Amino acid sequence: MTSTYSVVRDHVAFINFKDEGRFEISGSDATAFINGLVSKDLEALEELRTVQTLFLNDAGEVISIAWVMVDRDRLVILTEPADRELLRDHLQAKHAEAGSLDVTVRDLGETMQSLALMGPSAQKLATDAVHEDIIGLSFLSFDQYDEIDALVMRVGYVGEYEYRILVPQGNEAVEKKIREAGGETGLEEIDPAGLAPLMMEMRQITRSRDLNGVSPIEAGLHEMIDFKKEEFIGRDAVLAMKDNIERRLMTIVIQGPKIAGFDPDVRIDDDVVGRVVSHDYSEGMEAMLVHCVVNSDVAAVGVTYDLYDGSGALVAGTAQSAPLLLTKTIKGVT
Amino acid sequence: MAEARIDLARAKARERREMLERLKGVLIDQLMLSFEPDEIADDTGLFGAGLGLDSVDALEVIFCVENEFGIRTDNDDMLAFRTLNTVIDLVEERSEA
Repeated sequence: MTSTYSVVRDHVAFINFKDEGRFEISGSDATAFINGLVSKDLEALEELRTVQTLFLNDAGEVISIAWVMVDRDRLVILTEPADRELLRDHLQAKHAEAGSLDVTVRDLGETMQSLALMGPSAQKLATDAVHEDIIGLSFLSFDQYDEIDALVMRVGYVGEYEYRILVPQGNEAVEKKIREAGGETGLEEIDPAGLAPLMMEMRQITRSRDLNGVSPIEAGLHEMIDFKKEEFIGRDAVLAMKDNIERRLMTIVIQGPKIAGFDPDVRIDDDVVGRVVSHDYSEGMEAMLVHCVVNSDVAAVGVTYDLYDGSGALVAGTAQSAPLLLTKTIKGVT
Repeated sequence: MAEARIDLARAKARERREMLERLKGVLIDQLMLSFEPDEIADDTGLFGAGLGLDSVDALEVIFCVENEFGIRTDNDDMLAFRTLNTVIDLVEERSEA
């Protein structure tokens, strides 16, 4: 069997994101309601666009990193499995506070499937097997295809073509067509847990892995925030954060074999300058990828840091720019 | 006495920070972007969802970088124009050559 890494980077993966959080917000006040909760300005979005944004608390801490699709009076929100309950509780609490707004919040976890095609051959397979118009979906756009009862969005976690396909539970027709057509493309089903190193190669941050004690500004999530938006939960806190960034989340690359674990301290010789946040092994780069939060005065691409593995041995790694590699999708090679 | 690694790291970080702020400044000014420098992260993409630039802006971006940092680029360098950090990687590489 081909490795998850190779399936996604060289061919096309079929993924069932069955545990992710997925919610539908509907009603004439749906966009205004969610716009008050997220850091991007949804009112400024063009039609049928998707945005990756943050649900924050008043202290500016991240409750969830989410994809939000906006279609007039209906929004669909997708988030990682670890955020599902947190976001559901947050949405329900804010909905209860909203009083007489025309808003309905539905958890789609049991009623909708979230399938995905991911890889350099994903666009061709999605167009051939799901709907011919998918070829025209630009990055971060979506469309509803009523004839197959599917909502398809084009997003990207790992730098390859990625199409999320939402269909009702029990509708097996789309998956059947994908599997029948997938043989020639090297299609294989993978476990979404295997995507972690590919996401790190693209510096795709997840809350559960990377934001434990790390603020969204330290993590460099500025793209998910409209700083000029007049009002959203956590606004004052993130504005204050960006005025004084004491630490930065860096991606450190350690060439060589897989390392099982690290001492939490990041050092330069005897000076502790940061701590390890998360790590994984990149099969394609043959390197450990380590997310570390590092003091700003020594946080820069090109700086070499000292880490210690579980046995106490010193390993050195260098901070690099993201994305760490050029994927076949980016290079236009299939 | 050899300079301590941490002092070298501080100097590197200062230099890199200064180059990133220069790049942000010139892009904001020349492309009339509606961002302040501190609203842009170092790994922000130039095109699409990041700074929101498109193919029409690409030539202007290259011109800004070449003029601001005194380097020349060619077709082989185009993939370096992905994020602010990857542009500065190219600038550093050309400056050392």
